[in-house]
Parts: sequence; structure tokens; C-alpha cells
Amino acid sequence: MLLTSGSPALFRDAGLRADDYAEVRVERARTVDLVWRGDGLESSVTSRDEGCCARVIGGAGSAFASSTTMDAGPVLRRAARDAVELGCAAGRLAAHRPYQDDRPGEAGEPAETVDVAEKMELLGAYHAAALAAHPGVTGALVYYRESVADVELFTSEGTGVTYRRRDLTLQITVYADGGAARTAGSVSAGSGGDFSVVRGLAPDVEAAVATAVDLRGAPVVQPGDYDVVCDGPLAGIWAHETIGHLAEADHHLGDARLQRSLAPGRRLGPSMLTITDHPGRPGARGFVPVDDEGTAGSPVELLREGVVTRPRLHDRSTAAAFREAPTGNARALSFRHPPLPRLRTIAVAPGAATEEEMIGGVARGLLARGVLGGQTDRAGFTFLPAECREIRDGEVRGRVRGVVLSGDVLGAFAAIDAIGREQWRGDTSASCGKQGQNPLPVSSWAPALRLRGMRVNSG
Amino acid sequence: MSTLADRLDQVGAAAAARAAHWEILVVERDDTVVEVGSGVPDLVRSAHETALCLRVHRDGRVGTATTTCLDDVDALVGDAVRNAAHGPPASPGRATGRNATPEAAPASAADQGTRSVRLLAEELGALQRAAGLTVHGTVTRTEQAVHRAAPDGRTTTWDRFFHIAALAEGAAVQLPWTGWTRTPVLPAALPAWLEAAAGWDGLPAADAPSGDHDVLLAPSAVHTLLTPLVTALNGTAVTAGRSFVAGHLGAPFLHPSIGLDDHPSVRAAQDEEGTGGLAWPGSDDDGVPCAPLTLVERGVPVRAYHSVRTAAACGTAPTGHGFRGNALRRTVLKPATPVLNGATLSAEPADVGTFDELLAGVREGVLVESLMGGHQRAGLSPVVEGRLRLGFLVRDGRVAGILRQRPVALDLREVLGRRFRAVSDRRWAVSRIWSGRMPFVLAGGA
Repeated sequence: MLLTSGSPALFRDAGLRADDYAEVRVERARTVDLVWRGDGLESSVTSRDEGCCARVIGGAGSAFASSTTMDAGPVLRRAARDAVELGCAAGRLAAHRPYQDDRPGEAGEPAETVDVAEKMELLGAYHAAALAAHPGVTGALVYYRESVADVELFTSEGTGVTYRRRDLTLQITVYADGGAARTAGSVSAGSGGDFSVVRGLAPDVEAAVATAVDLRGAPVVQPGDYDVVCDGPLAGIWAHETIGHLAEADHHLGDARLQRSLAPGRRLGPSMLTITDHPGRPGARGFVPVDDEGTAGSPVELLREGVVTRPRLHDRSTAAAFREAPTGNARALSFRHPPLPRLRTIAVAPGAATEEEMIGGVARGLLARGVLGGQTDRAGFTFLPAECREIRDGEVRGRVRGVVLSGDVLGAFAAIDAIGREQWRGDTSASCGKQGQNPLPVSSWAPALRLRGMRVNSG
Repeated sequence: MSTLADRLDQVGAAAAARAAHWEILVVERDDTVVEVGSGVPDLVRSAHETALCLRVHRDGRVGTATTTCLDDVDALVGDAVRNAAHGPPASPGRATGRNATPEAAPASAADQGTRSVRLLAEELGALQRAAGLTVHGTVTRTEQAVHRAAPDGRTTTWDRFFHIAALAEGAAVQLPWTGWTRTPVLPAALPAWLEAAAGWDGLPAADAPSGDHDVLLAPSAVHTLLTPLVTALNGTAVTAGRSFVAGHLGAPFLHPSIGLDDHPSVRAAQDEEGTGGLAWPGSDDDGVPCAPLTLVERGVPVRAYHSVRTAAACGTAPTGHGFRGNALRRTVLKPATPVLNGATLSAEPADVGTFDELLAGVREGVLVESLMGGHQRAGLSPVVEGRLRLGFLVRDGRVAGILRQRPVALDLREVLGRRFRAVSDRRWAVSRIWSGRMPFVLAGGA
């Protein structure tokens, strides 16, 4: 063990009060960043990031301290001292089910086992291919990142857990000159450290080039209300940004309006709509079998058949506040941060419709694929799909550009009238950000969704 | 000699043995944060960080490695040397390592160390009683030392500042405010703004006027509106081929009254506005001196801002904007990219008024406090599209209602172009991706 060889002496010597809870997290991470931009390789960086943090929660107050040193004793003592001297309100934690399984097995082709020269050749070829594909291409970005972090968590309750976090992302964006604005096409891939997901992407790069180039001549969408068929990647991120973030229990504290909006039993969407946040599967970005409080992860069914079931994703603090059970959603980006209620893998259950059926039922609409950007403030959302095609009288037509989808978070569920039968389960490079903790790996699994009468703006 | 100084010597010696050139950047930072919930300090966070970045030149290529584990010199140098084997080519004439203008140490007035944070947090919480709104927020005290070392010498600069982030919550209004100061005193602008917001909280929900109308943008919304242009002038966007303005420098773009400059603050004098604590380092993380830079002159974008790397890619001179993270918060583990740390939007004196004068000039229009989604297409297009996060209906120079959320699209060429009327004489600090001092901006109906 990195820390104490299992000895509780660390906690005994920290000056804790009898009713204090304390935890120490120690982390060693290694990250590789490779970036191509402009006419070639921009940077190749290896980072070793090590440190520890301590959290004290008790009757006298609560405090969190972190340091890039590996000596946890002074950090814990600092947290204990701050809790008493500087503050603050008393805190308490709910009892939880500690994680006790063995470390989960590795999945796929671990990125750190692939020689860097092979990575450079493969990824550099994507960049070169994008630049050379068409004279209208003005630039391309290839951003690859892999990280492995070993974490040890010890608590004054006697919990001792070790786990490994692994993550891999690749974002390729191709730009073309569209006159007053630039157009873009993109490839987005990710995994829980499995390098194989970035192999064989040459056809995807070609498709991204085609998107960027074709969009130059595409008409700008006319603002108005459209029926929109979203593909799985877009639908997954939409679910994450809407019901997912709404369900993070820290947002519910002191917000009676949100609590009423997500009261169990309230109908939000059609009966074919079921959405769950769960610990994910090995090898995926959103795989969180144990959270950063040592709680074993369990699925949380947020909506079942369109009706709110369990509306809150908890850490131990919010669980205590609502007198509910921790759900294994307490996640921290690194030792620099305290855990917060965060999403893991949000999954929209598949429905019965084929894509052809969903498109065939649209008189005036859009087929939207992937995500270029998006934001929500828990009341409203706004998304830029990576690619949009017009649908007229049940037929998919040419690309349109400048599409911005927006709406009210809670109102949008009722607009769903068809759900695809194929649930998309790939990972993208899209990560989650909250209170400065970004990029946190997550997964979003979803089938295609059809939403009636969505507001579309042009930008 | 301190332990850190010893370590710099060791890393430098080990790098010199294996590389033709080397540069080291070390950041030491201590943060103390007190969180305020519903007017009461309820959590303390502290963080100590020491992180080092080593960049070596070997056989004409650059290798970079970063670490927080300063004890393992061999691993650090080994990582950098290995990365140089396949790294990008070294640019000729790169800046090498020294601060040309060492930063003056800040004044030590009235700072009681971490105790100051608690006192400020209590003052922030007390605004809840004064304003009649529920007040949440954080107060952060940061001490940051930046060490640079290269074969030709070593420099150290340090800085200390307070960051105040407040969210005032009423029955219908959620109003954010942020500021940076160098003295542990709440900026006067904060209670003044909360007092105004408290008066608007009980207003009825309203829709924006139909048709063309006046638009008064608060500093946060102005920052969002400017982000496409600021991003398009970023050397990274220029080299990536995604800047919509790169090929049009020198062409009129905004109203001829408008200027955008990145320049130092006058620190103490601006603390009461919450802009006194914005950073102005002597040099960037590439070692290039920071100097005032005009980006937009009389409505015309005139130049981009660069790090050493993006300047080399564009065949131009670096401008001293290459930072890991930003100047307020160096993040050694991030790459050095061009970033604005003190962008200031201004207008000719004839087009400047007080906030009250600007508001009084709106017969029928809206006051936009903040927008959502404005950053998502930044750099690709001059149009900001998203949703109104918080805004107010204005009638006859008075705030008359709280706008319902709705989609909005603002073209900065219009708002800061043919529809531009005036800016306020007071500016607030806004920092999201880039940092600056933003005034209120009034744009008239078509």
C-alpha cells in the first residue's frame, strides 16, 4: 500500500475529534498527450501527476485539503485544523455499502502497452490524410490522450480500497473555409484505455472531411420548429445533459422547485422512455464500479416508462441530507478535488422503431448526428449537432448548416414520440464538466430518438 | 539554497547531459477556499501544488514532460528525452527561458493569511442580510510563485490575489458576480449590483419585445459575445485553420468607436470594481515579455495573439500570451497556449456613459445578464447562438420584468457594429477561457 501499510495510525495522530469522519485518497497518474495541429505534430507530452488529499467531516466543521506531496499526514492534519479553525457548518454522511470486489480486469488493448512510435504513425496518418483530402480543407486537429491512475482510499471507518482509473480519448476535427464562417467535420472516439478503438478510423476521417467540405455549400437552416431524429451519440449526450445533470443530488439541496419537478411518480415522457444511470461496463469510459468515497456502484433507474422513479444520484453527504442510500456516484476528477455527485454511464433503453420508421414519419424535419458542442443550465439546453440533414416527406435530403437545437430540459421529454430499437454503446471523447472538475470520463448509451416540434435556430 | 532550488539544479544538469537545450517551468501554488452556502461559510478547501515542466531540444526536436513528483529526476528527464525522439521540430529562434521584465512583488497590505479568506467569506455571507437575497459563493486566496530556469539563468516571480465568486438567489433571479482583488476587501461593485438585483427579483415574468429593440448587455454577456472574435484571433485557431477572421485582418469589422486591448491593470485603483486582481505577469510561460497589445483598433481587427509555438507556425513574432492554463491559474500539466489575461473593451469618450445613463436610454428593450451556449462555436463563426440564461425587460429606462428563457442569436458584427451605441464607464472582471474587463454595452434597435 502506498499510504500506511494498513495502519490506522494516520487517523489517530491527526487530531480528529471523536465525531469526525476522515478519509485520505492517494493517487499516482500517468498521462500521454499527443496533438497535431497546423501542418504537423504540435506536441508530445508525458505527465506524471501524484498527490494526495484528505477530507474531514464532523460536528465542528468540514474541510478538504490536497497536496502534490505523497505524505498524507500533514495533509490530513491541515484538513482537521481547517475544519475547526476556519469553519464551518457541521456535516454528516450516510452509511454506505463499501466496495469489496477485486480490481476489475483490464479490457481490450491497454494503451500503455502500445509503442509510442506506432501511435505516432497511426494518428499522424489521420492528420495528414485530413489535410490532403481536399483543397478546401483549411486545417485539422488531432488530439489524443491516454491516462492511467492508481488510487488508494482509506477512511477512519476502516474502509481501504484500491482501484485503477483508465481513460482514452481521440478527437479529430477537420475545418474548411465556408466564407464568413468555418465549417467542421469531426471524429470522436473513446474508451476505458482500450487503444483498439482508435484503429481503423481512416473511413471516419474521410467522412469528416466530406462533412466539412460539403457544408461549405449547404444552405443555412431556416429557424423554426422541426421534428428531429437524433442518432444514438447525440441522444445519449442529450440524456446526460438533461435528466442526468438534473438528477445530481447536490442540485436538489435547497431547491424545492427541482425536487417537485422530479418527484417520484411524476410523468415526464412517453411510456417507452426508460433512462438509467449505472456503473457501466469494463473497458468503457463511464465504468465506475467504486466511487471516490469507496461506495460500490449500483444502477439508478431515473425514469421508468416515462415516470420518475429514483430522481437523485448521491454521494454520502447528499444521501444523508435526503435520508436516502448512497448510489456510488461520488466522483472526483483527481486528488485535487473532493468527490461530488456525478454521472457515470447514462443509458436510454431501446425502443421498437427502426430508423426508417422514424424518418418516414417526418414531414418537415432534421436528421441530426453527433455533437459538436452543447450546454445546459438545468433549465434549458442548447446543442450543436456535428452534422444535420434535412428530412422532407419522409426522405433524407442534403446537409444543412448552422443548426442549433434548444429547448426546456423538462419539457423536451414529452416531445419524444419514437425510440430506436438499436442502442448505441460506443464511447466518444465527450467528457463531463462540473464545478471545475473537467474532463471527467462518462459514457452515454442510447438509441435514436425522435422529438416532435423542437426549436431550431441558426448560427 | 532551498530544496526546490537544488532540484532545479539537478534537473538542469541531468537535462544538459542529454539535450542540446533545456527549459524548466515550476509553479508553486497555495489556494485556500471558503465556500459560502445560504450566507454561511460551510466548507474550507486548501490545496498546495508544486509542478514542473521540462522541455528539451535534442537532435532538432522538442520533447516535453511534466511532473508533480520532483524527487524522480531521472524519470522526468527520461520522459522528455524519449518524447524528443519523435517530437515536433524545434523552432529556430525560440525564446529561451528568462523573464525580461521581472514582476514586482505585490503589496502586502492588510493580508492576514488564510484568516483573510474567512473574514471575506463572512462579509460575503453578510450580504445576504443586506440584499435580501440568498447568497452563495466562494472566496479564494491564491499565492502563486513561478520559477523559470534555462542554461542562461533563473528567475522567480510571485503573486497573491483574492477571487470572489458570488451567486445571489431570489424567488426568480439567480445572479452571478465574480471579481479579483489584491486586498482582502469586498469590491464595492458587488453589493451595489446585488442591491440592484434584489430590486428586480419580485418583478413579473415577461417576454422580450417583439421586433427590433434596444439591447443592453451586462459584462458577462459582453464576454460571451466577444468570445468568437477573441477565439478567432487566438494563434491556435489561426494555425488550426478555424479562424473566421484570420484572413481579414485590417478590414473593418466592428463600429469605428470600438477598441480591444490586452493591457496591464492599475491594480489598487481597480480593486473596488473587482478587476484589480487580474493577472499581469512580466513574461509568459515561454519566457516572452508581456506587453500591451492592441487587437482591435477603431473597429478593425489588426493582429492575433500568440505563444512562441503559434507565432513560429504563422511566421510572426510571439506576443507574450503563451500560458499553461492562464496567468491567474498556471496549470503546468496543460500545454502552453495563447490566452488573453487582461482584454479590455473600450469606446471613444463620446460613446461612454454610466450604467444608469445607458439604462435610462432604453425606451423599449432588454438587459441581458448572461447567455448559455455562446462558446460552443467559438472561433468558427461571428454569431453567438444559444439561450438567454438571465435577462430583464426594460421599459422607459427602468427594469420592468424578468425575461423568460428563450433561444437567442447575436451577431457581434451587428451588436458591436451598426447597432452599437455606447459602453459603460465601469468595467467588471470576467474570466471564462479568457479574462478581461468588460463594460456594459448598449446596442440600439435596427
